[in-house]
Amino acid sequence: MGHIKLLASAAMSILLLIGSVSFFPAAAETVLNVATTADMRGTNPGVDRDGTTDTIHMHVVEGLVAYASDFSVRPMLAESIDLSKDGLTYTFKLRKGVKFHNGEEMKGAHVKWSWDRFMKPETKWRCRNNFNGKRGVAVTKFEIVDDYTVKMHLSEPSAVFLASLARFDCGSTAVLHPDSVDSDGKWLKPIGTGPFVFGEIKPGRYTELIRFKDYSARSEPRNGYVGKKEVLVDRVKINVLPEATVQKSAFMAGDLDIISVQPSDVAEVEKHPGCTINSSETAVWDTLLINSRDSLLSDKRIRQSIAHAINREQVIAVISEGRARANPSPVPPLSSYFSNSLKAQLPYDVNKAKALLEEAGYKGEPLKILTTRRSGAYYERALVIQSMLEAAGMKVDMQVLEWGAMLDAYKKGQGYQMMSFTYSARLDPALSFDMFTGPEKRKAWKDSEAIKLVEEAHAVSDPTKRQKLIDELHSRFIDQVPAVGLGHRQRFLAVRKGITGFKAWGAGKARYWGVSVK
Amino acid sequence: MWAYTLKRLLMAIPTLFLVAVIVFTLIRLIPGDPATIMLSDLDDPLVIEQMRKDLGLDRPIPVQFGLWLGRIFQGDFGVSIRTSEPVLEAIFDRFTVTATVVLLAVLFAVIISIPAGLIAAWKQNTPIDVTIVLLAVLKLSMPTFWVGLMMLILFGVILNWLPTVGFVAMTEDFGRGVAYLIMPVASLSLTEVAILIRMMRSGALEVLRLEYVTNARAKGLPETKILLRHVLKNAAAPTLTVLGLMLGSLLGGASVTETVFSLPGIGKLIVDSIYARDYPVLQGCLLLIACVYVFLNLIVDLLYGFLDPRVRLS
Repeated sequence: MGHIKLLASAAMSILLLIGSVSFFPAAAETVLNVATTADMRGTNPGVDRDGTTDTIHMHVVEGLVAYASDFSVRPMLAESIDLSKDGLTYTFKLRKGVKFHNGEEMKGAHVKWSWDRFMKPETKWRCRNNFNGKRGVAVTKFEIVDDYTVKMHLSEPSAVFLASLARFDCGSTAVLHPDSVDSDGKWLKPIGTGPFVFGEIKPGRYTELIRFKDYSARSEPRNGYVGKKEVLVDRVKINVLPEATVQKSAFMAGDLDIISVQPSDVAEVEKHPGCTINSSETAVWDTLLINSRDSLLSDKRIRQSIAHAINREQVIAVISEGRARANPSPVPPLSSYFSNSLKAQLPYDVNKAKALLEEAGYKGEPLKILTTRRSGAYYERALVIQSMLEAAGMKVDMQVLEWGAMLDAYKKGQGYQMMSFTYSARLDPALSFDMFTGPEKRKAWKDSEAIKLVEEAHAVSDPTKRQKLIDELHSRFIDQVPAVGLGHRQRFLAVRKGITGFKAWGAGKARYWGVSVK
Repeated sequence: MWAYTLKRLLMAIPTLFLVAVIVFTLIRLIPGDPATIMLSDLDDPLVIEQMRKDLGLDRPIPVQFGLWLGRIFQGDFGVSIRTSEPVLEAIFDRFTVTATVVLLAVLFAVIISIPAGLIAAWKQNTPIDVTIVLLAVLKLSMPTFWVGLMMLILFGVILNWLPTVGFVAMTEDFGRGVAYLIMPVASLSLTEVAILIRMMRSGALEVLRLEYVTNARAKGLPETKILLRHVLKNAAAPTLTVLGLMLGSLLGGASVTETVFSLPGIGKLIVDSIYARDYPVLQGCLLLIACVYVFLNLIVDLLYGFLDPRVRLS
């Protein structure tokens, strides 16, 4: 009997031991390794921000609305949006069952809390002045109708209200849970509704995003920043690697899964076994700004001469190695407002350029293009344009400044005659013109009629009327030439073999949902 | 010696104050400010104005300097404008990485270059000397960043022996930490070896010509003993000076190496802070570098006394 008991105990022990050791090893964690050129500034959406930081924040937080691939604004946390007949009241019906990262369900009170927090001066939300009347419309009242319905009342109709809410530099006006701050209102971390949460953040090294397992996804297919955000990896590790060469080496070594690639490197990277190149035209606008307050360039004939002397197609072909297209309009071709009228331009015509110079009495006075060596082909564009202008008989020098110094000149609206510049993506056509039109020092176009048209485009919601305004603005733009539009930036991303589902889109912002790693 | 050390430390105070004034002023002379850089072209002039106010940039520069200096004496170096990280924490984290790489690189450089320089001098004009000098000159003609990139491509991409991106501290994971350090340490070390070999050889050649060395040989002392006991100490002084300056310069940030190998070191922090006009970080870093130079120069001077009793007595 004693033997039997002993055997039984031994058998039990063995079984327990076997049970504690899995014959099927735990599934390895899937990690997507990507790179960025700069550190994230902070975790507070719409407050700590720059382009890199916005891209990361858009994985963690969501707002009532967001941009789709065609740059239209669609519901994200809202189920539906109604606008009153007078254009003054937006009613947002909220999606039900949406979970915050702390497990609580999103309700109207959370939306109001987020809004109130953003509108407090001490929060330092970058977009506060867009909604308090200082720069356009004012939200006069935020009303909670019930747990799943909120209303926002405006001081005046605004065609760009939803677009402004959706802006990623505004943190997409994220809906956050009050647990994002401590009892004194001091920022802790974002408790949002996005498909990821922040993991480890090591300044100068990397930022990690970890899959939020209880994410409440929409059902429509992925579309820009709306639609289904299905996370297929456990972690995304965003490595800080400022140098393009280093990123390329790391990608070739298999240490990175997705990288941004310069046009000049596309051919080389494409040859890498299994690599695919994802390419997308973005809303980032490359242009040559012209300072019409300059004594020489105040003459429209000289500005038009500059426009006639520049072969846009050739400039874009050189800087993109033939992989992008030119566009004379500040409105990106991906926009639903990009009509045929926006393709109109002052054609490349060296003889016409020369004739205009003669008519204007140009005597060979030196002109200067301000540029920088920052990545984005600022210098290369300026170089090509310089040679084109000289071929038309202009004497042109280039002045190369460090980015910060050039930005200073841009902000002050002085210290330059022409500037090789790039505007960050604006996804609404009114904002595309607004970025360089106005009485402010930094804005190149101060035409009063143009300013009036931009203001109207901000107010008018009807698409047909808006299109007419945009067309008219473009027509004035190419006639008065406050800038020469070159094109919208083509972005190239190399994707390693084994990575599926990644797709670039026109906002130029990476999206790591819908991406799997084998 | 203690009196000398104390005197040198007291002399460092006005030096550091002068550095603080120069750094503070020079940074602000660069066009553009942190608010402008951060907000770039997506801006609202009212927001820029508010940010300048929040950062204290709207105050007169002497006031800004006084406030900053006052906080320094309380141990508060401020926070990074770029990342909101406390400056001291940012500097300490990055300095640890740089110090690890630099100290290891210099250690290997010294271990290789001192004997190599001595041997080259001892065997002057022989194939050994020619080879050593040739290798040193060859390395000196290759830019550090190029060597680094070539190593990255060879060992990281082609052979896939070593990681190409990232950094793991040896305290977190010793094995992986070493793997991440091999290439940057080797790349930096090669440059320093080339310089130190030339210095050591040159110093040793001078000493080998002196009468007391001839006397030592005449006495029948073995060559090894002559080199190690009589030549090395006297020949090392110029090399030591260069080593001190080299160490100070590298500890201030081997930014090229850090950039190539994506090391989160102090050099890269300084470069990024200049571009971002991150004044608090820049000021903190440059003050730290000044302290490092002062400290290292003091150590070098004290070591002179150790090596040469005549210096100690004087």
